[in-house]
Amino acid sequence: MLTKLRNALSDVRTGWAMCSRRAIAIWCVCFALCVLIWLTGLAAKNQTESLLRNAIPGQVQQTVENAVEGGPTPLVLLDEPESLDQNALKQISETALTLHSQLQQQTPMSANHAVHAGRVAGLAVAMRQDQLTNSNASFWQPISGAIAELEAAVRLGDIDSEDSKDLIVELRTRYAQLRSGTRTVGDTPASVSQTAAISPAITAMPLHWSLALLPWLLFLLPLFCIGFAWVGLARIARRHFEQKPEAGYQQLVNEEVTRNMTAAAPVVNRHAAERRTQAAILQLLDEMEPLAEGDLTHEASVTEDLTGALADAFNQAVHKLRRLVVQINRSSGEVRAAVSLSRQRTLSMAKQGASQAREVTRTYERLEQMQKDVASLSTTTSQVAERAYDVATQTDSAAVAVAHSAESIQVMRQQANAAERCIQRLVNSTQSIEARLADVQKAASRTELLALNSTIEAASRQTVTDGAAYAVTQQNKLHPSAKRYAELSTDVSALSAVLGSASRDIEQLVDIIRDEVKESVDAMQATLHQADQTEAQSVQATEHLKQIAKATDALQQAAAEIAQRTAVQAQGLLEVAETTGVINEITHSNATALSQAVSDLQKLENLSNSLDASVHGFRLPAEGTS
Amino acid sequence: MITPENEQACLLFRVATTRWATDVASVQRVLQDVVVYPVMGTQHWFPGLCHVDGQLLPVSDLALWLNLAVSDNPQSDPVIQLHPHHGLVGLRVTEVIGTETLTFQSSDAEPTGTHLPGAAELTAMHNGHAYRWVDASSLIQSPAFVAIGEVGAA
Repeated sequence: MLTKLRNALSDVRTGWAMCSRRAIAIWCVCFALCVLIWLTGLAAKNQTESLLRNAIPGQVQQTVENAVEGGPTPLVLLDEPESLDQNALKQISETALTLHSQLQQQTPMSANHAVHAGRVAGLAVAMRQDQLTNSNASFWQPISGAIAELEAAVRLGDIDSEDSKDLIVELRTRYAQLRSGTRTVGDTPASVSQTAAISPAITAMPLHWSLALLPWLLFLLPLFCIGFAWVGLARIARRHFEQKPEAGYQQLVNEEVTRNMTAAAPVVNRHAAERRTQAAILQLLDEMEPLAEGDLTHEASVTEDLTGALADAFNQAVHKLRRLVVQINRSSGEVRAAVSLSRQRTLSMAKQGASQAREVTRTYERLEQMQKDVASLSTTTSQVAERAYDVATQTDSAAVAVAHSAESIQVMRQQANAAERCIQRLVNSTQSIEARLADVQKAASRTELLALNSTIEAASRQTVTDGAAYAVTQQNKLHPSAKRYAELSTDVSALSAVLGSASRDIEQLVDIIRDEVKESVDAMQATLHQADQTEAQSVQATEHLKQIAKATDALQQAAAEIAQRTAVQAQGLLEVAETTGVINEITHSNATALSQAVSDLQKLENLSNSLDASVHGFRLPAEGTS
Repeated sequence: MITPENEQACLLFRVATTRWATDVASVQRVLQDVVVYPVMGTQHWFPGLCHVDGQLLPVSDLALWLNLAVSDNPQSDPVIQLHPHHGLVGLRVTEVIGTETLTFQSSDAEPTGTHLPGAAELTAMHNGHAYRWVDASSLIQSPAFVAIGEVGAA
């Protein structure tokens, strides 16, 4: 027996020595693959954190949530029930109730989200009362979804109370503790920690991913080692028993055969059994060889031999590895699609942000120009108000002057009326003079007639006295009586001439006076008419000036009010311009951040592609055949 | 008797558009504004009688006698009362211009108012107007002038 054991150890040592170099190389490749997967998980965590912090679309978040909460992820294989921590459930229900009451007392937007807190409390109470023991993905999904809704509300700003935020973080922590206190198949502490700490402590995600991969690494490494060891052993055995049997081992076999040939037939039978076992091992090794090439389509044949159990375990490992690779492919594809979509949306947002920044800049410039214009308008309106005040003052002065003019015109009209009365009296006097002038003219006419008759009398007397016609040449020899008549006739004629001349002169003067008086009366009446019109116009002008003064006062007040309000508007525009400047800076900053996010998403997409390429070497069976 | 080339004291008067001169010695006086009372059955050139110094003075209108246009207000026209030794007659004229000493000349020109009895073919110029001599005594003593009764009235 000891000899057999020594021989077996010798065989193993020899086989290990033959296959160790290749196994070590394959083991290093596997280790490097695991490290790459771990680094990919770390990078995915960073990008996911960035997406969550920048409120990226819910698809990525849901993907991460699914990865964290279980669902399609292979990290949480919750099939078997386990009892829950009653204290954690109680704390969760109390925290959720406190949060529910707080949210209902806050803003309407917060009150809308109080229902999620109520749902968390209700679920926790139901779990506690019903002593639930199931903890699969669908079991945790409602409570986790409700907490996720609350966290989304915090990110969207619907919940802005610090106390409520603290309660939501505490709720997430309690939930994480509850999940960490639940032990299920495949639910390692690493996966629980990963599930619990996703939202409040996103910084713990590297540990989640790495610890989630750790058990698989620990599972896969021995598996690969065993597999390659079997491969090495199979080759050694094949080379030893069939192709190149070594001398030492052949000698031992010959010695053993020689020693046992004579011992007994059972020994021969035992060798035959060993041979069958060795053949089964070799078959198993042949069936496991494609696995070293990454081909997961093959499975080992489960027989009744000694290797049947190994083949069964191997097949189970291959099945789980298939599920792992499928899940990695699926997650990688979803992450890549989500990242691509997010990158496109972020790029669109960056473009829109840049456009918004330009518009804000333009708006800022226009606001500045508008503020300057309004300030200028305020100054101009102030000048208009001052000018209106001057006009009002001048209008008042003009109204006073017009009133004085009206009074002067009134006085002039009274004086003109007095003058008209005087002229009327003068007209009457002129008519009296004319009446007397008729008498004078009549007297002159009669004097003239008297002179004529005197002349006739003198001539008659001369004729009577001398009995002959007289001649002028004999005038000096007239009869004394005729001479006296002639002298009287001459005097009367002179008197008649004086009277006639005087009456004619008086008549001419009276005519002149009458004409002038008539002209004066006409002029006076025209003056009075003009004075009346001027007075009426003065009254009208005074009324108009009063209305102008009133309108000017109103204009001045309106202009002053406009100037004041315009100044206020200018100040408001200045403040708006300053605020717009701040918005402009923020918009530029956002545009820069969006550009950076686009770059980060590009890196994340590259990492996802790398992850894809990493698992691309694995060959999987067609769907429905596994 | 007036003769040409001799100076003569004359009374100048106008009858409508005609100007006349008569011997001033044959004139008693010139009346003005006398009221003439018409007499029925007399010639149309006989306006009537007027009352002068207690006597009735027959007044004949020379303008009507000469069939010339009368003035607008014949009542105010002057009346030349002739000397009584020629007869108690008054001659209503349009205007008495005055007394003047004129030298008359024989006139070859067609005389105006030749139908006036006593009118001579002698004229004298005074102040640019031609005055024709008329003998008042011959005028008032002419049968046509005396026949103041209307024709057929008797």
